[in-house]
Amino acid sequence: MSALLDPGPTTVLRVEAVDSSPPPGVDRERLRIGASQVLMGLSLVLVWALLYLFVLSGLEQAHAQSALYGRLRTELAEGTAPTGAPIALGSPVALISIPGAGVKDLVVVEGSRPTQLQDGPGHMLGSVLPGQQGVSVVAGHSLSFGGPFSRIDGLTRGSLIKVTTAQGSFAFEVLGVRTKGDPVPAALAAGAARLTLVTAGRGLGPAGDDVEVPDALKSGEPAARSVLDNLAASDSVFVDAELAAGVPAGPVATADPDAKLMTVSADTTTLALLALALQLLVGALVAFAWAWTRWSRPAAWIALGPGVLATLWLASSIGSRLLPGLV
Amino acid sequence: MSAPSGSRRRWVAHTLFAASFVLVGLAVVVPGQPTAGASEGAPGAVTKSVTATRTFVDQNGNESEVTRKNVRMEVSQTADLRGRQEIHVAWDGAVPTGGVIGDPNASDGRNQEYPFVLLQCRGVDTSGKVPKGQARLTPESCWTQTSTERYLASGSHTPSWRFDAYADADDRRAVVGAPDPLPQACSTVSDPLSARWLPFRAAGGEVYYGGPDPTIGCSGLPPESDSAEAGGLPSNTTYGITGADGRGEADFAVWTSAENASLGCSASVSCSLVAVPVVGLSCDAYGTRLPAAAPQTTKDGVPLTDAQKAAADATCRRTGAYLPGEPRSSQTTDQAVRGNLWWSESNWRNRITVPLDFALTGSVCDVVSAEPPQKIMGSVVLNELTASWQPKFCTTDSLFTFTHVQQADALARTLVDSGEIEAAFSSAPKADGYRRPVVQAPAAVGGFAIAFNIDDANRQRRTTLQLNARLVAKLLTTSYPAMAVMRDNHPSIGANPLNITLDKEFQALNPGLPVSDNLEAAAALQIFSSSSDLIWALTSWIDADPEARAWLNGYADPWGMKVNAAYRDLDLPVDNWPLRDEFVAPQYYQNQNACYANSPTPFMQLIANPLSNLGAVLLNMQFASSSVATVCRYDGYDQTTLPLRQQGRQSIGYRFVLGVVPLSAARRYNLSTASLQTVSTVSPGTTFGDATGRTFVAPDAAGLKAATALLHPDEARHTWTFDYEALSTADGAGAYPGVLPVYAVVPTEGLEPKAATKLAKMLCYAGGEGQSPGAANGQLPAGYLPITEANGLRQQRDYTLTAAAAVRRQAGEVPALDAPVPDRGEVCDFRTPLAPSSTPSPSASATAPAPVTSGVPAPGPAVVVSAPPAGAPSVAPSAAGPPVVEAQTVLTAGQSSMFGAVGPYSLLVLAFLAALVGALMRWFDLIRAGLAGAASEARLMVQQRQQRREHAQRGDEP
Repeated sequence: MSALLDPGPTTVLRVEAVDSSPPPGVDRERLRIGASQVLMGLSLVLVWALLYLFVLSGLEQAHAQSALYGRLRTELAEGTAPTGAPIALGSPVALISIPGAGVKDLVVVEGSRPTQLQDGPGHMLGSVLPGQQGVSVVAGHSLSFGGPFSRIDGLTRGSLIKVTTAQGSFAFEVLGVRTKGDPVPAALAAGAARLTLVTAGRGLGPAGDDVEVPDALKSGEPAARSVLDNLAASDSVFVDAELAAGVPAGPVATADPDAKLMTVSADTTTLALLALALQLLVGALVAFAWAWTRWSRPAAWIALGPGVLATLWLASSIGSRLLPGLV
Repeated sequence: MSAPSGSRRRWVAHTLFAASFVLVGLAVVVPGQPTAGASEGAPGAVTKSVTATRTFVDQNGNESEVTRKNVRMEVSQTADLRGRQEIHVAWDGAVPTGGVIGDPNASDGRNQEYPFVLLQCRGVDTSGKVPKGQARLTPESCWTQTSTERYLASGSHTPSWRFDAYADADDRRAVVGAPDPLPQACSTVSDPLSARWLPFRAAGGEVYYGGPDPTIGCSGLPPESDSAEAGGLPSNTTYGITGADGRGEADFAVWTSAENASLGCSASVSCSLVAVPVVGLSCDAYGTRLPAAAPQTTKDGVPLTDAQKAAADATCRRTGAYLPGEPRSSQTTDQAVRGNLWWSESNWRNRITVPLDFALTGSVCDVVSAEPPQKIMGSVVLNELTASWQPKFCTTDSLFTFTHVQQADALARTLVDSGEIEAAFSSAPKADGYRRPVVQAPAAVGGFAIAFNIDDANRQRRTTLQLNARLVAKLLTTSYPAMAVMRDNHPSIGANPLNITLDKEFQALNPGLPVSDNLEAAAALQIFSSSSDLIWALTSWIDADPEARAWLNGYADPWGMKVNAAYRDLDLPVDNWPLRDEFVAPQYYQNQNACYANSPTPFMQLIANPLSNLGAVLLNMQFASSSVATVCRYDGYDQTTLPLRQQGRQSIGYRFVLGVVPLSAARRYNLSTASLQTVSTVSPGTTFGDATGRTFVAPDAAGLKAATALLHPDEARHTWTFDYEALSTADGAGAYPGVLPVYAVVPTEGLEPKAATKLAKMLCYAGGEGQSPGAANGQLPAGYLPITEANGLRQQRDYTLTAAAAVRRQAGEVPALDAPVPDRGEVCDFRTPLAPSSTPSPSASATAPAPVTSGVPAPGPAVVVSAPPAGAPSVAPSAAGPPVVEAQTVLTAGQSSMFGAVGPYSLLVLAFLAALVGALMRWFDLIRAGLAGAASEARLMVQQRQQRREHAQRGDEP
């Protein structure tokens, strides 16, 4: 009985404030997770950038080259390939082969801005076309976009450069490679033609230092390079080649003052295009995220994955025009 | 004490006053001399006369003479003419002109009554056989700028020109001279009942019909017909105005084939000046002079009725709606006496033909000479001289072909010094001296002139103008606001007079000129923008003038006008006038002027608008074109791309342009030139109302000769320098400040023997025959002072000979200015080699270092070539064969890219780091737990191993 009567413990009403805050460390946890996500995202973007520069841009140029090759082949056959200014920027002007540097049947396009150099080596405005009497200058990437001119700094005196234009095939003989501070070759003899290839040199050391020519270059073989060497292309390198008898020169366009080969140049057109491409990319990502939550994940990958990839590629392609044209 | 000094001061003031009167009188009288001399000495001045008659033939065939005029015409020069040269034509005895318009060169002049028409026509005017290779002169070979001057159309069957008593029956048909077949475009434009086409036959044989509206494709016009606004030359066809006394005069600019290839006049193609004194049509309305079988008909072939013939007779007999000299009003002029009937046989038969004889031009050298020309670069002051010498040189066997490449003097000096060219014409000494041994041989004494084309209050061309250095500085520094928008907004020139005509100083020196506040061209002095010693001389004069210098330094002139702050304390002299005013017109002006809004540039630079070449300045001076580029023409294109244009030709009577030109060019193109101030005895701070106390010197022979006295030898630089400071002293009072000797700068070492011989020949010529004044090729054109003993230039003439010897020897000597003069016969006899100099010049070794050799030997032959990516191409050596002097090697200008060097690495490293840190942060707990677990496991393992080992040891023991 007594047990029944025994009053239970009474409910105690607490009047002080109750700590209802989340357990400590959750905020820091969220920040940590967010930061780690940002960093890994950044890492992914950088990896993408490297992947684009060293692999995908090469595919892009190869694609452009195949279309240009077809077009130039037709124009050469029809005799409508250009022989002098004015030539529309980006249209094919010549076919170049450099056996000593692993270049085979590359199409040279008109103009040397980054936009044109994405498609292939670019003929510099203000110089005559290759094979014509006078000095012709052709610029090309050495690192990105397949690096068409990546190995021309290994050319030696006497190497052959073959160029085909509407005016015929020309076999240039290389005079030598020069970098900053080397003497420019002598004046052209009357009627001679010179072809100067320009690219960003790889493995010849930083600017201002005495240029040491590796033994491998002297012996005529392309230098064996370490992986890290393959990632640097800092100083412009000129390769001069001459032909004793050029064909008469056609009209020459005026030089393009904005074609900056080795400096980062942000022209408004590129920036505007880039802004548009980035908008597309953001749109694609938003659509992907929406599909990810509303549909199933495989459906999102199948339907919008290619879209994200394509817009990313587009933005990378346009963004890379802001980089130096020769790198 | 004060009385004597006061009287002396007064005496001095009186003397100076009197002296200034004498000098001003001289300055006024002296400009007349060269023109007088020119008309005397000008080759081939011609006077011709003709009796011009007008007759009417009545119904019965009776002739009555209504006008008979004995017209006499004088032409100032007909031989050795050069392109765009103006010849003076004066006539008397002509019918007075009525319905007068302002500009006798305008196409509208054709509608005046009784003008004295002057035309330039190709061909030989003869009734006999035409010489081989020449054309016959007809109205069809006469130049007119517009088609309206050679096409007449009428809505009537009986316009007066059909009833010309002297015309052939064929020429009296309703439509004469139309192209066959008539282009479709013409008949759609207009289908008149009567029309007269006068095609133009070009030198190449093309026929340009012109017609009613050439712009829409109804027949063509010669390419030179473009108006002056489109960049072409204005017309030289002159509808001269005869005064009530029967006299008149005009300046006629002659075209060579260089200016007008369609007309095609040259030394080998004969051309003439044809004057047609319009006396009106001789009328034969009833056709009594026509063959009876062929009466006049309408266009459709219906014979004219008697009523029509009577009407025709009445219109044809008109003698003018205007009184002589009456300006044109709204009333139409009478067709029968208009200038546009100059080609009608009645007028044409009264013509006076004066054959023109053009001088050979340098273009002949391409034909007569196969050798590559010797290039000489430099001074524009010698343009007229080399234009005269060049044809003489290449057509003379003992001389050679050369070309004068007009180029900045400073550049020419540098190129000679670096061995890239073999000779230069230049005036100023080289700033840092020559490193090669060169001689600077006086070649000519020319100068700059301030040319003007200004109409006075009577709308007649002004012939004299007085300028001081301060006025020139005011113009050059764009210190006149020119327009209200600048006056109201510009920070530093708002208080200044709007333009020079409103400047009290200008008004004081040039009383009687019209004052205008909307004359932008009067706020600018046209100069050309390239570097040249011409500008150097001009700015040296300004710099040395005390008033101008003080004004430039910021002191206001007596009326309070201040220098444009952008030019304050400007360092002078310069050889290229800087454009410093950066003030852009405010937004409200941009809203008014769409062209300006398209590219808002510093406004005062548009007012000054220096022209890119000297020829443009000369053209603007000759034809009174303003170069002020503030005009916006809404000519129908896209409004957002409308460009600003120059104001262009000013109308006759209201002209006002000023420009800096070489003196010789001013003489060639008959430009009026200003007298420039030397000494001023007026107190600098006081205002003045006239030119009293100021001495002005005209650019004539006397002024130049007086200026040569201020040429002082500069032994260190082996040249003569002009003492600008002395101009403001009594010594230089009579010296023309614009004098500018030009030197031939030739190396005395390292030239090829062939080039050395040629250049020595040139120096021999310059020191001898070349100094005889005259208009013929090879002589010294007007505007240069002959380098002769009579002109006080004996030392200069002798030095040219000394220099010729040094150039021939090529021994590296730089003769002193007072070196003994060699024998002319010996030095300039190029058949025998020149003996080496017996007495070496004292200063030979002083400034003759070894030729510049290249610092870095280049692989292969060391000749300069520009690095293609590095910059502008340099001038290639002109001579065939390797140059002796090695030029500097050009080094490759490489570029480098930071991105290229470190970009990919850093991208890679950054990516790796970001991934690493991100991963660490993301899975921190997991990794920690894993690590902790691993650690405890390891500890456990270690313990176990230890226990096992202990256990084993214990087991071993038993």
